[in-house]
Amino acid sequence: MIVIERASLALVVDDGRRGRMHEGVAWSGPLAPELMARANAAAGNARLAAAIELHGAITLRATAPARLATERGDVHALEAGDALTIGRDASLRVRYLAITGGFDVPRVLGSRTTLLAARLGGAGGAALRSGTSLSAGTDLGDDRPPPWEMRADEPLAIVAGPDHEAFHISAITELTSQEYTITPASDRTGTRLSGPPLVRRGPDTQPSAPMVAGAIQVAADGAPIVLGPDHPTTGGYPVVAAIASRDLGRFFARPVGSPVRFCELRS
Amino acid sequence: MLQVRRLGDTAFRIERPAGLDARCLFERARAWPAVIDAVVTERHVAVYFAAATELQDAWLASLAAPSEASLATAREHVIAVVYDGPDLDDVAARAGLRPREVIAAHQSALYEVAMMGFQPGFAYLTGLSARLVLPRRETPRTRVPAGSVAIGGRYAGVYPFASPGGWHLLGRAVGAPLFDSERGARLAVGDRVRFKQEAK
Repeated sequence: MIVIERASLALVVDDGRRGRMHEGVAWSGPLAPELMARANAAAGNARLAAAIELHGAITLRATAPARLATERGDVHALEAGDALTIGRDASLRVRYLAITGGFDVPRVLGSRTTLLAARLGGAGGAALRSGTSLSAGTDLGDDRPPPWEMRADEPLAIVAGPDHEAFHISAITELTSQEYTITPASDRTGTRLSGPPLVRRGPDTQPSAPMVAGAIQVAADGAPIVLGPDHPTTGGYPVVAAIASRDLGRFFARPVGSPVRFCELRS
Repeated sequence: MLQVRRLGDTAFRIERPAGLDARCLFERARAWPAVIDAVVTERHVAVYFAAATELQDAWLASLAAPSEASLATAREHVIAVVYDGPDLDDVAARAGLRPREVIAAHQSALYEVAMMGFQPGFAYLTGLSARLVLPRRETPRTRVPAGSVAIGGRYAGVYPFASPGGWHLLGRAVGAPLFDSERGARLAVGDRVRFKQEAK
C-alpha cells in the first residue's frame, strides 16, 4: 500500500473502457500504452494492469512493503515508511509507474481507468492528490511487451479522411510535407499542434459526426488538433486524417515542443 | 452503395442509410464480426474494430437492408424539470414569447435521441419546437452545472456533467441521473424523451 505525498497531474489508467462510445464514453486508456506495458512488465504484471500515468513528478510513501517499477524498467522495492520520487523525463510527455499486482481501484463500467470529465474510475474519479492511498491488486503476469521504439525523429503514419471535401485537395500533401510542433495547449482530450495552418474550404461539419482517438481535427483557425483518449465521442470540426493505430502511442509519448512530421500509411 | 470512409485504420465512417431508425442501425453494425462499438449520428454510422481491418460488402449490404420487422417500440423516458434556468427570460425575449410559453413549448414536444456524444450520457434530442430554435450563445459559459436542461440550435439536451457549454439553460433535471457509474447512460440513440414540469 502506498500514499501519495505530492503529485502534479497523475491518474490511474488501464486498458481503457472500450465499447461505450455509443453512450458518449471515450476509451480513456493510456496516452502511450506501450510505455505502460514496459512498466507493468518490470513490475511482473499483466501487460495492461492498472498503472499510474504521470504528467509530471510524483512523490509517494509506502505504508506496507510494495514493489514499483517505471517504463524504464527500474524496480523499487519499498518497505513501510520508504519514500519514492519519480521525476519528469524531458524526452517523454508522460511516464508510467506500476505496482506489482496493479493498482487495485474499483472497476467502473468494466475498467479501472480514470475519465476526469465524468469523474469515472481511478481513485474516486479524480486525479491523484496528496493523501490518496492506493493498494496493490493481483493482476500478475509475465507478458513481455513486444519490441517498441519511440523513433522520435521519424514521421508518423496517418490515414487520410474522412472529411476530404472540407479541405483543399492538397491538404494531405501539406500535412505530410510540413513540420508541426506539439503545443502546451494539450491534454488527454486533445493535442494541439502549431505549424502552417491547413486551409479549410468551408465551415464546420453539420451536424456532429463520430470521432476516434487519433483523429486530426482542424479548427476554424486551421490548427490541427489530435484527439486523445478522453476525446468527445462526436465532434463538429472536419477530420483531415487520423494517426494510424501503430503510431498513436509514439505520437502521444512525445513531449510538448517536439516536432511532428506525418506520412501516409502504407500497409 | 453506401459511401464508406476510413476513420483511421481501425474504424470506418459510413453514410447513414435512409429509412432506417438509429436503434436498428446501431444493432446491425454491432452484430458485425469483431466490431467493438458503433456510433450512430444523424448522418453517419461509425464502426470501430479492435485492430486494423477491412470492411466486407456483405456487411454493408446487411446494414442497409430494408427493415422487415415493424419498428420496435422505442423506449420512452420522462425527465422532470424545474424551469428556473438563467437563460429562460433571454430565450423568451429572443423567441418573442413569454417564459411560460417557452416552458410550454419545451415540454409539449416528443423528442428523439438523434445521437449520443459530447460527454458521457449526453443525448442530442431532436423534435424541438421551431419557435425555440435559436443560435447558440455567442460566448459559451465556462461552466454549465450538471443536470442543466438546455437548448442549442435545433437540439434540446441535458448536461449529465458540469462542463463548458454554449447552449441556453432553461432549467435543471431532477430525479434519476442521466449517467451513473453502474449502468452507464440512461438514454440511448432512438429513445423518445418527454420533459415534464416539476414545481420549484
